[in-house]
Amino acid sequence: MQQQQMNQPSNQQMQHMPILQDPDIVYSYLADLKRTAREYTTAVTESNCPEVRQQFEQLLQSCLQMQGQVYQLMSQQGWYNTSSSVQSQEIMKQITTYQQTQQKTQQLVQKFVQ
Amino acid sequence: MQPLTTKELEYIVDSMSNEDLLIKQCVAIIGSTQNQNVKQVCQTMVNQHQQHYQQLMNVMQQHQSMGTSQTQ
Repeated sequence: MQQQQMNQPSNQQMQHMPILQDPDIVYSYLADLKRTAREYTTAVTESNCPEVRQQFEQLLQSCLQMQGQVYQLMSQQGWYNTSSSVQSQEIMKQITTYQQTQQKTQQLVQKFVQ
Repeated sequence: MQPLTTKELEYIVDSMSNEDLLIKQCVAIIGSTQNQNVKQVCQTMVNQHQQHYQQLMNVMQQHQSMGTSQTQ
């Protein structure tokens, strides 16, 4: 009986342990920064008064900067898995495809736009 | 400067709710973390979110007199 009590964390110890650990709670903050940035973007594009638009633009810029800082913090702490890097062959393929697209569109522009 | 539209006012108050939540999240992190890097970043973030909140409040105050009066 005595032994069992020793192995189980006491009630007091449980209370001092946060339910959400650092990576989770910071991620949740990061997610809300991202959501807020999206909402500022919508506010910018739907503002009527130029001064209000400018204010939202400035808040968006600031919010994006903060999101970047929090992302860097999480990355430094090893709390964020960046997606794997792409092979150069795959980039080459896309370059070729989109050079062709560019060429075709350029021909269209030359035909109809003086 | 033009009178605020209903939509603009909604975006302003929604943004203020967002900033308020972000302040509280930072405070919660500061209160629970032992990590000094995390603590430091969140402390600077609190000030910035408070500034954002005040800026949005200022926009409302600046436009207050331009609002359509209730009795027409």
